[in-house]
Amino acid sequence: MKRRGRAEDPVFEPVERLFRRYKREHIVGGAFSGVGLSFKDAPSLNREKYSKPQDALFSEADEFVDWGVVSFQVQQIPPSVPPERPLYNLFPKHAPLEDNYSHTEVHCVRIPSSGYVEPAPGVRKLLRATLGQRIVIEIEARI
Amino acid sequence: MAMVAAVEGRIVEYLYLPESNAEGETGRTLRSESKRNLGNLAEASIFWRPMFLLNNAHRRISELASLKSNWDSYGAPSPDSIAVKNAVRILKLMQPIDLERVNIVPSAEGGIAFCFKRRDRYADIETSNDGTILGVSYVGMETPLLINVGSSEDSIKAGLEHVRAFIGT
Repeated sequence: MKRRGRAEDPVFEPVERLFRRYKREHIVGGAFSGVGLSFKDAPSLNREKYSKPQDALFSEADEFVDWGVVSFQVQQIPPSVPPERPLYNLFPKHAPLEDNYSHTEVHCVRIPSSGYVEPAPGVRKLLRATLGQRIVIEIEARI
Repeated sequence: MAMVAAVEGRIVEYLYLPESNAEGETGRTLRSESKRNLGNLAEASIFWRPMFLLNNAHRRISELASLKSNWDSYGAPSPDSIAVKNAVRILKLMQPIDLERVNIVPSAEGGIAFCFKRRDRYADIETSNDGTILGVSYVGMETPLLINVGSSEDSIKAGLEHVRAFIGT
């Protein structure tokens, strides 16, 4: 998982999965609720190209041992929101950390483009729900 | 002495031992069983069940109010006093059927969410640390619809009615 001087890799295949750890409380009726996601800042995930689902649970202190892992595919990120009158573009951005080369963020930029912007509350709410619908459980949480 | 209650159409007899002077392991077992039976009786009672659920929901909100920031390990803020106050307001306007179905969970954006799911229908109402109250509803993989709840009592009631009608009986 260490970066070891490797450069960013901007190439994502549409079917590449992005992993994120979660707790059981965000499973409602058997499915992940978008309430467990945040777009206040670019959400952090691990990309499949450089990690496995269980890597999202790695911690030297074993603090995530009973957590679970969910995923969605790159192609499931809506390219722009809201669909009827797009105000923001969304895309995955490889953002390697020294101790986690696979670290990736879902970026949101206003149209026309600038840095990451926090989408308006209603747009965020719909975006989180949309991703929540598409998320699948990779490793079931025990807590 | 026994108490009798109708539970889901069945007549159930509960042993009722409010006081016992039995000592040792037998006494402890009797008291523990008596307490458990009373709990079951209250939970199954048409009269007590809504209060039991409301009490559980309040307890859950208290638990969430005491979360530390970064509770999701990705930097999520803990629910603040505004979110908690609005969550209690929403709870007060819920009907017993809402309490039967609700999952109360922390929001990764900071706040508290009331989530409902029945078959492929999902809806939630989320109260945020910034004071906004928004909801969402969707069926399966269909496009989610925003529920603009607002913070007035009437708009919260309308939001809950929307969720109730959407989730169905």
